[in-house]
Amino acid sequence: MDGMVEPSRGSSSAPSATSSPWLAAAQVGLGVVVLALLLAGRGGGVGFVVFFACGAAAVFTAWAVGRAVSSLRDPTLEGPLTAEGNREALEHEKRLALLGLRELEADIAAGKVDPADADHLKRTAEQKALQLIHRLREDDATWRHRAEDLLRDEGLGVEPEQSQSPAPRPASPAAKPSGPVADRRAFDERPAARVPVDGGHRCAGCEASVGAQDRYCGSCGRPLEALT
Amino acid sequence: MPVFGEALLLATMVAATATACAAALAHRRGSNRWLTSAEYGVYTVFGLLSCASLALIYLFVAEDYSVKYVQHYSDRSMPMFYKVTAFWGGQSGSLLFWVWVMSIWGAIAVWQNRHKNRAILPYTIVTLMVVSMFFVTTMVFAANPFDTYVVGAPTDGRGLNPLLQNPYMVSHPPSLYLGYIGWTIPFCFAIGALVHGKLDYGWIAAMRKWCLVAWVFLTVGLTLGGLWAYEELGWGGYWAWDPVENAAFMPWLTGTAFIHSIQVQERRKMYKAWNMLLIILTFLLTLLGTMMTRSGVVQSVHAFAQSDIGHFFGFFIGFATVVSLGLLVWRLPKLRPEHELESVVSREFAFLANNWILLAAAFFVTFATLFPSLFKGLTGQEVNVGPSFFNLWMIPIGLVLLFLTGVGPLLSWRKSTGRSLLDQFWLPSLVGLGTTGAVLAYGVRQWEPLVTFGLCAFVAVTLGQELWRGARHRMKKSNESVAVALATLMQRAKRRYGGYVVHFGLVLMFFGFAGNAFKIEKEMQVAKGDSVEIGDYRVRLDELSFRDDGQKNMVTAQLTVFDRDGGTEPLAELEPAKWFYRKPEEQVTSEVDKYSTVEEDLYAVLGGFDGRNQTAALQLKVNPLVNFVWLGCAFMLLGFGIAVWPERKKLPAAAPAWNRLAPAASAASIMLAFASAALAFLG
Repeated sequence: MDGMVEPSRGSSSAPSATSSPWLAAAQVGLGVVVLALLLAGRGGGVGFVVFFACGAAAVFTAWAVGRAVSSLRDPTLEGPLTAEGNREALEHEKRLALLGLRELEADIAAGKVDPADADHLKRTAEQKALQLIHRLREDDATWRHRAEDLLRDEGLGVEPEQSQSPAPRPASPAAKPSGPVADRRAFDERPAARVPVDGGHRCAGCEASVGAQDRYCGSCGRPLEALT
Repeated sequence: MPVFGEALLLATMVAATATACAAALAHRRGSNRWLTSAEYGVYTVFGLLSCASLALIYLFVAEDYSVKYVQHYSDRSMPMFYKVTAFWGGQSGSLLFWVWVMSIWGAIAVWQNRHKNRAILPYTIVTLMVVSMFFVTTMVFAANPFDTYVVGAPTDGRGLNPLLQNPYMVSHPPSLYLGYIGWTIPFCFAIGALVHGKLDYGWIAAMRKWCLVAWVFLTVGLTLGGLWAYEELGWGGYWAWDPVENAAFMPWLTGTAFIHSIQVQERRKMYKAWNMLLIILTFLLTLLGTMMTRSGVVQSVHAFAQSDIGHFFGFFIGFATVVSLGLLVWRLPKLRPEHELESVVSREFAFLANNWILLAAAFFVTFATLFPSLFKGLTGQEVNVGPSFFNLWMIPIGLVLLFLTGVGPLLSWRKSTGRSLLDQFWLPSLVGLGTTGAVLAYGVRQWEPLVTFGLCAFVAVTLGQELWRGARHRMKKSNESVAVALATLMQRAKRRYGGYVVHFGLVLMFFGFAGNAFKIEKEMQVAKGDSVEIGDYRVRLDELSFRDDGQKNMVTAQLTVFDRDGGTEPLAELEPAKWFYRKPEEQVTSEVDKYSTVEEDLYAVLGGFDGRNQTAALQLKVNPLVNFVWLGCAFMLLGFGIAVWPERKKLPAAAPAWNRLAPAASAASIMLAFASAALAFLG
């Protein structure tokens, strides 16, 4: 989702800046091959390979220098350093929370956790995982709304995908989700049905693909009804 | 070419400086443009160092003896393979290799994070470039591999140390360097996070796999070093607490502590400052280890020659210590734990205890390694700290660690109750005690193997119990067979069960270490046709042969091994030898040969010979259980593979059926890797 608004740094959107390093690199490469052929006699076949690899590294260096310089003038890179890292950290935290939940269940099954403690621990872990899933969805919605606003500003109106965006539109595009979910809106904890599709399943709540073993939807976080 | 190489090193200094400045500006201005430019700067440094390294390799291949480094570490008679690997055979070349590997790791790390962790990337890059600049500056001013003879360049080289002309020495240094240098990347991310103040999960997510990769390379490097010592040095052992070995072992200990305690931060948001301290310590120990082996501070059989690069390292270690610890202190308020330790009978505490022990071991090894130099510096007197002193302390420390390896997984997060403890511990404890009793009844009276075998059994049972209970739960819940339940268990919790496989590897290693207590050694003069008995073997000297391959003279003892109890069928033919190299300076090496079985090695060394009378001085050893040390390393690799195996992506419901075969293929590959390791061991 953030890819929609993130500048495409790797793309060659500034031809004037990128074409000359490429041309220079090609010329250097050609020169290296000729030199390598001339010098092959000194080190034999291995010498030729090493020299050629050295030349390839030189070409790569020329390209990297060219890109390092041209990046400073690349208009597609305009803008501040964004905090995509928050998203990454959230996703990592969600993965860890789900992993923790799985391990907790294994620990309970193995008898490592006191039964009196087990319910409390499980409930806390589930709540934490749900909160993270919901914060990620809010993050998705924020970015989607920002993208829609951008497109609208450009005169390209878009119809919001109702089925894909159950989260409410944030008050301002700059508003970042923060704080516990419960503070802002109630989370839908009603179990969703599992809809069989082509040998797999979908969550009836958001239509995301879910596994047969999953007990929560990885997309909307709703509990899934058990398969009977 | 040498001038080109020097120019490349200077260009690297300039590029690294410019890149660090660009990254610092990116942080200051919050500019995406400057950061992108800095990223390409990292690629530029990688490109320049690749050029420089390949140029040096080319000089070796092209036999350009006008370059001092090439002349010192190669000669015309050396096989091409060793000419290429002589690149890292000496001081300055290995420094270039070091910084080249670091640039490769750095470029990969930056490429991996091109769309994420952008906030902490600027100072991650600055740190990476500062470390690179330090190494390149050291090379340029104190150990330049492109230095040439001004006049009278020799027409041939001195040759590479024959001890280094061994396949293990080809793979051991790169592996060790990859591990050593691998710790630089997590350190750079840690500094990036400390400077930015963004100390959430981002930096941990960014460097977690780097830590595992660094750890596994260091582990493999240490094991390959052990294998090299075992097969090349001819003293029959694999670890002698030599300063160079210790230099690599020190960061391994703190790195292992970090890998464990980072899990507590991930799961319970505790030990945040402690983890920062551990990663900083690990990096500083890699620098200290490098300084110890390269500056002549410590004496070792395979340290590099004495040089003045120690001053450079001393200054940089001081600088890195002050800056990193200063940043840590500055950010301490942001590193407060979000939970408190609730009980000492919990997994969190087991991890902490494991950390304390590992850290104590790291400090002990560092201190004991440096003690002779410190003592000489203070009193002017020579003192030697030998293996027996290290063993006196490190054996108990190692055994406590082994015990904790078994205890940790059995404890629950937060707290464990008395009932669950009893339920978890009764079987492993019973088996552990039973094993100790059985070994005692077998006649073993030394405390080290008694405790080791007991603890190995204890830990092995805890791991088996964990697997079995997990599988049983799945079998009940999902009605799966044992095999399917085990495979699904591994697949669903790769980190946990991968870790268990690594722990099992550790158990096997300790099992192998315990074999040292039952070593048999014999040294005697044997005439042609005579036999000598050792352990369960009878060894006959058939002949002494002499050959020359142009590079060296080789004297080989042809031995036939029989079963001691009257067997006439030979079990094996061994050919221990002595090789007399012409270069450098008539160096002699002992080429070991051995007859390996699962339970032991018969290890033969030709100590001396009399060609006229066809007699040989044979050193024979029986090394019980030694192969379990190597097998343990193979299991550690397997466990690492399982732990870092990528998570299965959720496939759309309409995905083709063959796509669903991927998890099965993954499991099959893991099983295949395991089977290969087992076959290699048995074969």
